[in-house]
Amino acid sequence: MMRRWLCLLVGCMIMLGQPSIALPGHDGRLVLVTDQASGISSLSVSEIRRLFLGFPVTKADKQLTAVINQSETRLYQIFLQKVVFMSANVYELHLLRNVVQLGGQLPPTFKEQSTLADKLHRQPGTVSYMWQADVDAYPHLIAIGELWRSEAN
Amino acid sequence: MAQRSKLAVFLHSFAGRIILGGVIIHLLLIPFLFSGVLFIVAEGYKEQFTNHVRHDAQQLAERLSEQTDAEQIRAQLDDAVFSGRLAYADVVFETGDAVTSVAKNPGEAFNEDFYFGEHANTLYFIAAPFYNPSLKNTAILRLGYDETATRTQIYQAYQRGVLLAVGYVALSLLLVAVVTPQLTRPLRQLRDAAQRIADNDTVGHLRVHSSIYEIAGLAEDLERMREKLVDNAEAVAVRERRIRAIMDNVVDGIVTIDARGNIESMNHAAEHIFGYSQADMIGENLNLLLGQPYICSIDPQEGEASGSIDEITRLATHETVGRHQDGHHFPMEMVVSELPRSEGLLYIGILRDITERKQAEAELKALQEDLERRVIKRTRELASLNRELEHQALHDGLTELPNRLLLQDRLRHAIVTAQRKNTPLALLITDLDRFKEINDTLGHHYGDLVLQQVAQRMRGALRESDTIARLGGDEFAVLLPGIENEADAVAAARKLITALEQPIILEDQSFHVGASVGIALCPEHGEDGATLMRHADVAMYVAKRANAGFALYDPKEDQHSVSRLSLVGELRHAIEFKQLVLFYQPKIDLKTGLVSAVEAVVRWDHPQRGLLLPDEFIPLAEHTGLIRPLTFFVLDEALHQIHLWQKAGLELRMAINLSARHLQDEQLAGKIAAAMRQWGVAPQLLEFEITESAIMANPLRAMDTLTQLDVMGVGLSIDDFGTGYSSLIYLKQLPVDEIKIDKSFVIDMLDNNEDMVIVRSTVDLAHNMGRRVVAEGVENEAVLNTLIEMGCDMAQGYFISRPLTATALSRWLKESSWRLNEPNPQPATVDS
Repeated sequence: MMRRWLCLLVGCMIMLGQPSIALPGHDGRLVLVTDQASGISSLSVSEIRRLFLGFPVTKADKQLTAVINQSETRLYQIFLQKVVFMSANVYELHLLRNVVQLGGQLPPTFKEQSTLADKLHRQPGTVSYMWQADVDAYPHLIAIGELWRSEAN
Repeated sequence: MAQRSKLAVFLHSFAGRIILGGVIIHLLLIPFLFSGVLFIVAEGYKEQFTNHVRHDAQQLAERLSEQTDAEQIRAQLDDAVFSGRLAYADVVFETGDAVTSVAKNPGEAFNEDFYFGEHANTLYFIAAPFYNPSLKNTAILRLGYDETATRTQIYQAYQRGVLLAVGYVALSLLLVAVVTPQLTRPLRQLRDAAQRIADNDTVGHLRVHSSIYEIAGLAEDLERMREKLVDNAEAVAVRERRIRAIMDNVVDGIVTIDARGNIESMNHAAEHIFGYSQADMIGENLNLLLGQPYICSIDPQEGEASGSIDEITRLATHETVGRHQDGHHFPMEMVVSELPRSEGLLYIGILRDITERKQAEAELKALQEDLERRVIKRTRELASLNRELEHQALHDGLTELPNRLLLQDRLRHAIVTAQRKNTPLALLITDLDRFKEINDTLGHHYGDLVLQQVAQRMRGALRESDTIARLGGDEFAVLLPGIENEADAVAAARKLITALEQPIILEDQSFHVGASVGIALCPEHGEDGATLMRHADVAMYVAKRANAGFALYDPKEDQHSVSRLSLVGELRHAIEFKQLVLFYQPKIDLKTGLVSAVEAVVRWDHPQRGLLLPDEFIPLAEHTGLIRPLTFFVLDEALHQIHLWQKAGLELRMAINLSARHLQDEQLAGKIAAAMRQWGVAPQLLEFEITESAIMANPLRAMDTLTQLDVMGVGLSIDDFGTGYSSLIYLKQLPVDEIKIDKSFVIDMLDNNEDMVIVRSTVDLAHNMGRRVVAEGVENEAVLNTLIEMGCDMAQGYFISRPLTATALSRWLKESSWRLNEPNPQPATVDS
């Protein structure tokens, strides 16, 4: 019994000691999405970056809201590298500092993509990102810009 | 047990376990802890590297977008690469042109990384698109950052972590090694102390000093345990001494035996019983103490396996034979009980020399046998006595006939049998006719002889199966079971009468004793014993009254019996309420012709039957015991009358009759004296007449009573002289003044020469004995004159006067030719 517990404990330690393994994306295109009802057709690179760094962005007299998609690690890391150019911890500290200094709220974070899609649908004006392949699964969403495309594509 | 290695011993010690526990804990926790810390550190380094790369790539892309030509772009790239920040950089324009600057050959195609260490190479590739307005061209900046420095930092962090872990483990083991002895030292001391206590070394206090609360508490507990053990040991020792003292002072020998039958201990009494000392017997087998005939098969070599203990136990439950050291055997009682203990059963034998008890038992047995013999003998005697008593209880002692009790029992059985067989039976009651005279005259001795002969004759006259019983006095009963009819009963009655008609000869004297027999038949005259007895009795009275010999029960005659019974009650009432009346018959002095005395005779003035004569109730009074109160009533009335006469100046002597029963009363004289004192009557005015048969019933007793009366001064007279069996010897000795010749001789003496002779002889006899003579039954003048001629002193009879009431007597005294014998010839009014 004792040995069994020891083996279990060592196994857990080895698992925890390993770095996170990135999963491959569904396809090689990361796109910016919003609900069709948002009335947004596109955003510039600058607007995108400002929006996700927590700064206010208004489009067609409408205050946009960023929503962070953490449903996949790789998707999130690509977002960090291509949109905000920060590591995850620095980005989160940056958002927190902006909230403290400028007021407002932290962008909501979703680990379930379906919940995120529902959020986008229920709250027009919210903007997030996901694989292009996943956008097709939500008819009410539209891609309003491409954030990254793999070289294979 | 195999010899343990030092390591095993150490690992099983308290210190070893502490160290082993510490090692195991650190082996488990330190990798976990340090790997966690190193993971965090490594991730920090990677995060820092990634953030730097992304930020730097974005900054460089912004700067490149501001350059105006390709050379400036190249210069920027070279500056970045040669400053060491980058290992590789190139810009690929949309047109396909490219500007490259390389410090370290990547050795592989650009493949953008998004994680530190991705793609298993040493470079982190990152792409940043930008637009250069001056060149009006869009380009992609591709950079390769060397990951080696960061990897080295991470590796160094791992190295330092391992070193820290090892150092930590070493330091921990050092601390354990230092601290453990402080823990184990007091524990070892406690263990040593416990071993000493276990080895019964309880002397001295237990001193273990430790700052650890649990160890100090354990030491205190151990010390208390040691003190308790010391106390218990002392208590056990005291108890053992007490038990030993008890064992050594008990009378019985006590021996403890182990499971193999070997003696472990014995007390003084056992030493005394067997003659061995305790030292000699310890370890010896129990067989040594047992007598040869009872030695059991204990084999000390085999011990318990032989089953000998069971045999000892079985043997000990009986009396056995003990063997003394000198070899003699003696009876012994042995009781064995078992005491379980850790090393096997202990048998405790209690042995007792029962020589004296055996002797006592033998003596007791002999005594018991003797007692049993005596008891048997006495039982037989008692049985015989019981039979005799039973016989006495059920038989008449004089005649040996069944008594009334046995008769009643047999009668009850006979009635049941008769009813079952539907056959008649008869009960006869027989009463002797002249027995009373014989008894009164000749005494009880003769009466008893007569009764014995009567019984013999009755037995001879009847069947063996008939029951003849004496009911009392001269009354007999005969039970005739199994008769055919009434005639059989009558025939049996006739046989009885015939048998008793023959004269009975006693001491050359002949006595005629007749019998009256009453017959009652079952079931005609009664279906129970009491009824049959009563009806046979009634029939007997009828036979006696009719002088018929026998009579069969007649319900009509039963009324007489009833009236007789009622008469008894009425007589008692008459005495109590003074219904009896005294009449007085004068007695004449024949020499002077004067009235010298009167005889008081009693009449019963019955409310329904009129005036009854003495013959009609005196026998009843004598039979029922009422004669005593009746006589004293007469005495009281007579004295009262004398008293009245005295007050009237009349001195008249009064004669009163006494029955035979009064002569048996020792207090008679005293009572008469008291009555005389009460009425103030002088003794010379009183005279008592006693019949000849009453005196002869018990002459000695009569002599005493008559002597007492004579001393008192009252006159005494023998009444009805000549009718009984008087003894002249007694007659001569009796203190009587006069003799009264029975009227049966006087009345017919002029016609019967024998009576004349008897009267003359009696007169002569009385005069020769110095006694006066009174003739009764003088009913004519010729008799009176003859008596005068004979020299008779006094006369009494109807010729002179019938019995008169007091009033009539007073009148008679005035009017008759007979004068009163007193100075005053004309007395005053004489009345009651």
